[in-house]
This record gives sequence, structure tokens and C-alpha cells, in this order.
Amino acid sequence: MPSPLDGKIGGDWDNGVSVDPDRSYLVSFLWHEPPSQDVHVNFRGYPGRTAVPRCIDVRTIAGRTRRRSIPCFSDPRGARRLGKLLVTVYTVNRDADQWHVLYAWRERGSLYAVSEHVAKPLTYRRVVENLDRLVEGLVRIDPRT
Amino acid sequence: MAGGAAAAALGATGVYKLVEHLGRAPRRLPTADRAPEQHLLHGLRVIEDEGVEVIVPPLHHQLVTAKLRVEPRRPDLRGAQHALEEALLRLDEEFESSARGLGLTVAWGLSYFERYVPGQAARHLPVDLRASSTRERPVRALIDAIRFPSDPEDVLLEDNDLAVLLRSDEPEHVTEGAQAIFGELDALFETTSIRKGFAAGGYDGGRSLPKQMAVAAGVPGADLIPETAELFLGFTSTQKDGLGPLGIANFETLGLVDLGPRNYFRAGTSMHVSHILENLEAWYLDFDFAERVTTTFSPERRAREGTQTVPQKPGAVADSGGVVRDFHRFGAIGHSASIQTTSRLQRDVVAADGKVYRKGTAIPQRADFNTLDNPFFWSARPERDRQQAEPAAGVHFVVFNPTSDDFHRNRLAMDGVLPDGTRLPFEPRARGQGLNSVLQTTHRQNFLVPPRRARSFPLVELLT
Repeated sequence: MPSPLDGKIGGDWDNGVSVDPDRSYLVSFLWHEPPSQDVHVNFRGYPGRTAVPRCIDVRTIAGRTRRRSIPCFSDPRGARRLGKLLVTVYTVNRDADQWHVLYAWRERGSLYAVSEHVAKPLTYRRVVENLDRLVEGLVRIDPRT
Repeated sequence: MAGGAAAAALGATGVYKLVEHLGRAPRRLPTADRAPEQHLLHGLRVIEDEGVEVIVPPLHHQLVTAKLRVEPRRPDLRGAQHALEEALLRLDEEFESSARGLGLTVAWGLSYFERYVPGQAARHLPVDLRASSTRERPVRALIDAIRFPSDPEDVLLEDNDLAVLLRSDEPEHVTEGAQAIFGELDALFETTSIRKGFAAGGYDGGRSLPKQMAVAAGVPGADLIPETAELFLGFTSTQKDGLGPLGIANFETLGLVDLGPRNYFRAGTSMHVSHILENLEAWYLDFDFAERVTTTFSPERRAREGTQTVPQKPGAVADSGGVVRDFHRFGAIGHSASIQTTSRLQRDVVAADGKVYRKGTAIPQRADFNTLDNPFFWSARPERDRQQAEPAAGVHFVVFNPTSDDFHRNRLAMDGVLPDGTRLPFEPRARGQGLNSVLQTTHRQNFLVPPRRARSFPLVELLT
């Protein structure tokens, strides 16, 4: 994990775990230094499906709110092999992954993703290095229940 | 002290050291030399990129601003006029007026005309007929810059006496030109800023100059710029159909101005100069490709993923009604579409020389270039200019329009203030305003570009 994050659920940098009714989940870790420095990593899983999820883009302009369905991950910048995983790099992402670089891959009929926020003190290049290292170091854990 | 520092900075390279090695001069055509206009650059190559005709801009650019050290007395001014013209003639002898030689444009600010030649300016400065009609009082073709709705509160409206724009494919030509004027004639000029930059370079398949320079400087978002992009924001902006044809921005061409009793400024034009910071990370991480296209061009525009050069055909230009419909339908307007409501001819126009310019023809002649200045390469007033040492992605926006007010109309349209009086109710820099949300203007000024014959201290020879 990029410093100072330690990847411990319930630890100092735990930013929450959420599971949706469709069993998709988000595990988030965040270090924040006011006013605007962040180290923020999200792990996502979409058990039983491989399609890129859809997000709702909401904008209010001149008093009128518009909603549209858009891909949660977009602007793919090619595929890369990291260890055994073939990941697609997405640079424009939504919801909790906004302003993140996101690596997504499909495995055993499910979609997985890891993303990191591009924000001071990190640059895009550094985030890509972090994600390369992080994904290469992932160890699969099968659910016990 | 400042003069010495400025002289050193004219030839210094700093973050641009790499540019001399990275930018290979493209093949250029022979040029028709010494046109009456000093703002036109002849012999620019036209290539086809992604099926669209594109004008290849010069690689290296520099703009130097100054205040005059000369006292407002006739003998002093005549001497200064002679000295500057001599220096310019020597440069003319050495370099052809082209991208492979040296494009040299000397422009003068309102402060020059008001302080040094007020009586002559009152008589000979062109009057903007359209703006005068709108405001029901005489409005000159050169007026002070204004703060636009999407500009930050602290944008600096400058009052330089003159600006010299130097353009070439060869960086040493630019340096020699700047030295010959501001280095050799420092008794006349107190340099206030030096602004440097670059454009293009990626048409022949290699990495473009903006991409190489941004990556080398390590500015945020540099890695996200497409490899061959003409400019940092990833789209080509010099489509032939999107640029005014030679001569259209001259004062006299479209009949927008009254040139006065002696047509003194015929073949001249107005020039706007601004510096704009570009947030590349916001552009590439928060706008996907489809939205970058719609926000740059128009909400209904589609382009194949990765396209950099999008057609800008005269027959497909937007009008105010279309932009208003876009706003109501999408809550957004396109950068190009909104500007086209004022920057393209809305009807066929027969010019003063009988030439017909068709409806949809672009009027502004752009001369903008990317920069890593923050905001300038060098400033005589670093605190006032908020000069920063670290490089930043941006653009020195330089454009020639028939009048200052014509530029203001273009820029207001970009903010949703349309020529028919419609004001689209955007918040400043709202995302629906397209590019505005990732741009931050730091400085602005309008200048008058005299014709070549009057480029040195215009109107001084008329002093009595």
C-alpha cells in the first residue's frame, strides 16, 4: 500500500467498507492532510458480473437538475499484464473513484478494481507506479462464508 | 538592475533548454516577403491531418512587453522611432518574414497612445463603428482589456506600452530578434515581462513539442497528454477552416472601423494577449474523451476515440439559436460553438478590396502557443505578476481581431454572453461552460498592431 496507508480494515486509515444489495463492495483507505493532500485507495469487487458498472451523473445548471447514466470507469488507456492479472487502465472514473486512476480486471466471472486518487502529494506517474506495485502484490483470499 | 536581468533573460533558456533539441524545424515553403501587414506570417505549411487541412504553426514563440523610458518630447521620440526602425530593418535584412526566418510583430498599448501621442491618437486611431453604434458613443478600435465573467477576480489587466511577438521554427532567430530590440535598445525600453513557449511538432508522427516539454518539466497531467497533440489540451486548433484567412483581421477588411482622415492604420489590426493556466489533470482525469470533444466543440459533436483533429467547416458553424438550444437541452455549451456565434461571418461579406468572404468564414487570426511559464518566463514585477519558479502548463493566448471589441465579443460568447444579447445563466467556470472550468486567466491586455510602415513609435512623425 502507498505510504502511509496500511490496508488494515478497522485500522487508522480505514475509510469504510460498504456492500450493496447486488453484493458489489467497496473497501476504502484514506490519509488526509488539510487543506488538500490525500492518499486514497479504493478496492472494488463485482461478484458474478464482468460488465463495467453504470453511475448516475447529476448536474444542476441554472436551477435544473439533469441525471444521466454513464460508465463508472471510462477513458481506457490500454491493457497491461501485472503478475497473472491482465488489467485495463481507466483514467476517468466516477463516484468514489473520481480523479482516481483505476485498474480493473476480470477473473472467474467477476470484475475487480483498484484505484488511487491523483492528488497532492502524488502525481499521475507516481499513482501509476503505486498501482503497479499494489496490483502485483495482491493475494487472492477466498470467502469463508 | 532589472534591465540587466531582463537582458540576460532574453537569451536564457531555463525550462526551455530542451526545446532547442526537441523541436525539429518542419519543411517550409518559400515566402512572399514584406507584406504591408506585420501581423501576418506567410509561407506556413498546410498539411492534412486525420483528413482535415491543418496549418503548421511556428515551433518557437516569444512575447516581450515593455514600458518606454523615453520622455514624451518630440526630439526624444523621433530619435527613438529612428533607432527602433533601424533595429527592425537590420532584422528584416537578416531574416525573411516567415516561420523559417522570423515573424516579428510590434504592437502598442493604449498607454503609449495616451501618454506620448495623445493629439495624434485622437485624430488617427481607428474608430470601431459597430461598438460605437452599440454604445451610442465613439469607441476606438483599441480599448482597455476587461475582466470577463469567467475570469478570476484577481486577473491582472496590464498597461504595457508595447509588446513584441517573435515567432520562428528556429529558437536562435527568436533570441536574436529579442536581443536586437530589447537588449540593444534598453535605453528606450524597460522590459516588463518575457513570455516564451512552443506549439506543434507532432504532425510527422513523433512526439509533439508540447507533450515532450510538459513531460520533461514534470507538470501535473503531462503523462496524460496524447503523444502527438498540437497543444496540451489534446486537440488541434489550427484547422485551416478555423483560422481567419490572411488579411481578414485587418482594420479595413470587414468595414468594422473608420480609419480616419489619412487611413494611417490601414493594414493594421488589434491584438489581444492573455496568459491562461491550464489544469491538465482536471481535463484528463475528470472529462472523458467524449466529454472533452463535446465541451471543446459542441454538445452534439461526436468523434472517434483518440481523434485530435476535428473538422471546423465554415458550412457547419453554430449560431446563437443553436447554442441556446444546446444550453436548454444539455445544460452545456461547446467552446467552439459558442465562440463561433461571433467569430464566424454570419453572412457573406464583400471586403474593401472587393474580395468576397463567405458566411461561416473565421475572423480571428490566432497566434497562441503553449507555455510552461508561471505566469511568465521573467517578470520585472514578480510580486505583482505572482511569478512562480515551478513550471505550469498554460497558454499565452495571442490573437488578432479587427478591433478589441471584436475580441471581447468572442470572449463573452465563450462565457455564454451571446451577440443577440442572450445571457446563459452559468456560474463562473461552471462545468457546462466547457473549457472554462479548467482554465484560469492571470493577465490580459489589448494592443494595436500598426502596419509595417508605421510599426516604430506610430504617429510620432506627425508630432509638431
